[in-house]
Amino acid sequence: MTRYPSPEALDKNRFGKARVIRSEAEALAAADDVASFWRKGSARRDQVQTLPWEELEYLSHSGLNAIRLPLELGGAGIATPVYLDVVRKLAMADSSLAQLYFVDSLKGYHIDQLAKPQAKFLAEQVLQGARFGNATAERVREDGADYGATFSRDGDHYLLSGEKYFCTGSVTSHWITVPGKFADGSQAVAIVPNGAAGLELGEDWDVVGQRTTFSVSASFRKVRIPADRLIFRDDEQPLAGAVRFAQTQLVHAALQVGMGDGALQTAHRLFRQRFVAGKTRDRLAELLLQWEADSAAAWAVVQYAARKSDKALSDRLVGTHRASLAAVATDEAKSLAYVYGPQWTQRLIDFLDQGDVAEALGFDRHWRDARTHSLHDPARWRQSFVGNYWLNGRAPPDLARRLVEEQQWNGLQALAV
Amino acid sequence: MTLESLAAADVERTARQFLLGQVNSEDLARSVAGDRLGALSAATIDDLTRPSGISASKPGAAALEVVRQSVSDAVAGQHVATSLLARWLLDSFFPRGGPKIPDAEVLTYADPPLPDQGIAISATAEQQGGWVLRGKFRSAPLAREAGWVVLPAASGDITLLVLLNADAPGVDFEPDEKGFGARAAVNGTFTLRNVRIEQDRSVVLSGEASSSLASNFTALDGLFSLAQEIGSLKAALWEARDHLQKRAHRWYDASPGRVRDDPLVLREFGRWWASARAADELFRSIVEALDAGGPVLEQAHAIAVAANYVGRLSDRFMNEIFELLGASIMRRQTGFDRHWRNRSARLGNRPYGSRPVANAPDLEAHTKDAMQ
Repeated sequence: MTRYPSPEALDKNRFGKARVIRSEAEALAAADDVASFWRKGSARRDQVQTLPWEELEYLSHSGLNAIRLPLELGGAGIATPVYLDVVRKLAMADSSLAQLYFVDSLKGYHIDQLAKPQAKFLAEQVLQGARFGNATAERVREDGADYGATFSRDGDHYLLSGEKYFCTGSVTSHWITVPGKFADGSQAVAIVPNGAAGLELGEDWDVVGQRTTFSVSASFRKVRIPADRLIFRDDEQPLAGAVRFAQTQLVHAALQVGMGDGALQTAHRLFRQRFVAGKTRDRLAELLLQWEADSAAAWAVVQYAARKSDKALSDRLVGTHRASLAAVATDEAKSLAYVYGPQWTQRLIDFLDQGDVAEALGFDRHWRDARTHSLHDPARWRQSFVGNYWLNGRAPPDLARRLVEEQQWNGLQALAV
Repeated sequence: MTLESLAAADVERTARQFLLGQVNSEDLARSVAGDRLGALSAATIDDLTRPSGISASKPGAAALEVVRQSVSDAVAGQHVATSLLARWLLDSFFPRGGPKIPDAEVLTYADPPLPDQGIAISATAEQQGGWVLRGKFRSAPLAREAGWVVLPAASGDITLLVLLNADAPGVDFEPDEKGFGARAAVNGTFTLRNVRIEQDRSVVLSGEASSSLASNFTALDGLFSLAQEIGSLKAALWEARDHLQKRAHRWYDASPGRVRDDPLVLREFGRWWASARAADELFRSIVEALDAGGPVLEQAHAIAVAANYVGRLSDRFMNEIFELLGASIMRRQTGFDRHWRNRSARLGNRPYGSRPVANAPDLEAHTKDAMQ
């Protein structure tokens, strides 16, 4: 039976308390350090699918979980471009663990949007190195607001019931965030401690790539949620929500670039070790330059989109134009990154020699990881959104939905005044 | 405005800013007419020969100007790049910048202007109480307009860099046959018959200083070539967008509705747009580093990487974009094919080995960067 890390286990980290990161330089240095720790054994973890407790405790200890927390909550307030670079560096070493990381730290970033007591509690958790997994995905979903989990009031607390699917980080995190809805259609997000009564995590993670995310299914049977562990987001400006959502999508793009770059790093190592001179060397040298160029191109657009999203969120009220630029820039980034990862990780084959296909060496995991991850969000749709925006001025679907909500929200704000 | 449709003016303005859009402007008409006539318009030449204060000593600003001119007309972009490089050669190699050549006078250079491995120097120099030149060499663009040409010449083990007066006795210029593209950028062959060079118009290339300057030239050449690629790409993408927005007739077996709503068109166009964004961002970050005062040589690797990406992108785009635009784009009056012809002629006219895409920096430096 799998053991889960409850919040009480935070002070049992074998590496000691979580560090506090204060600057971008410290964040990038910490990312290099964690990546170096993760790189050892990455292929083996993929092979035997061991739960990566030691690696995740090292992550919690590094302080990287809190870098997106704003300064006033004790974090480092790291800007999105640098945060994405942290994700990319980690994904180069082990994309599954990098995915667990960003699921965590993203929650940290949104904490400042919450009511003060909730924000204070969650910030303290993040600063102590707590990890937050999610139970967001639905097995069947008609639209973005269609949730399989439901909330009901029960005295001074709430009850959470339902099924979730693809719950990334649920097995390895101290807390799980669960979006759901009430009978009247209103939405909320529950913060559920791992190991809570009524929470059951499946043992059904059996996939081709990203094997150590352990994104299992979860069921919730009247899980008791204290009132202050339920987050209502009704007062969030919809366009701000659109940009924050775009940022979560952008992290996936950074992950893809990291996966491609991890394979590139391996290709460079093999190239230096094996190809000293000759026509093969020249051909592979040209291939490496193309690989690096495609990496740089995808990454340049990821960084561009990151700056656009930070710019949009720097306004007290996010405007339509800036929100749309951030959203479509994210689609542009995904249009390239989701092609770059799978396309180039498979080129690693060109650098292999006889015998390198041994399963234990794990050279195939780069492609398996990138291809698996890419399928959650088909690049062809992102590319179409970009085309539709720049040819026809039509908003990408998520933004279009939020524009409708924005009109209603504006109406409510006016009434409140 | 429908709920999902954004303010059209905002999208248009932002698209135009990104691509430096020129559709429906006089520039477009000038560019198409210039392609037909094989000559730049008088207005374009006026624009190009007006003192601008732009020089390759500020390579970021200079590269942006090359992009701007290349968007308006590919040959205008070549014109600016060639002039900038020729003047940089003069300023860098000659003592105190060499003889002063007024801004309005056009300079070009032998291509390549500096000794380059694998490309023989075909002009020879002989001491006869001063240098006397003989031989033939091919020029970079602008040879027809050029009053002055910078070229290398060999004298035994010595290599000279020479500033040649194109009107001097013994200098003949034979322009190339009319090309399929870049028609207004006339390349050709100079023939030198005992051409006497004045004392202050030659320098001996030797030592590390010359070698370092040659590396700088290669980097600058790569930067301006990249700028031309970006400019041509933007011009063609803008015109393609305009055509798609107006295109009335869809293919009979295509999905119903307007061409601009065809899901396959949207996807393809989105891919091109995102790739153009990447090209622009790679270029922008190089310019930003140069504007911050960084030497161009430090950007050599970034330039080579960007050139590799943009070169491959342009190879595909200039050919495959036609597939979206339909047979109507092949009417000669649209002039759209000039983008493919101009680019192909520009690249095809360069000597083997000096095309930036094939001229990657050494791999060890490249490897070190990628491992960080």
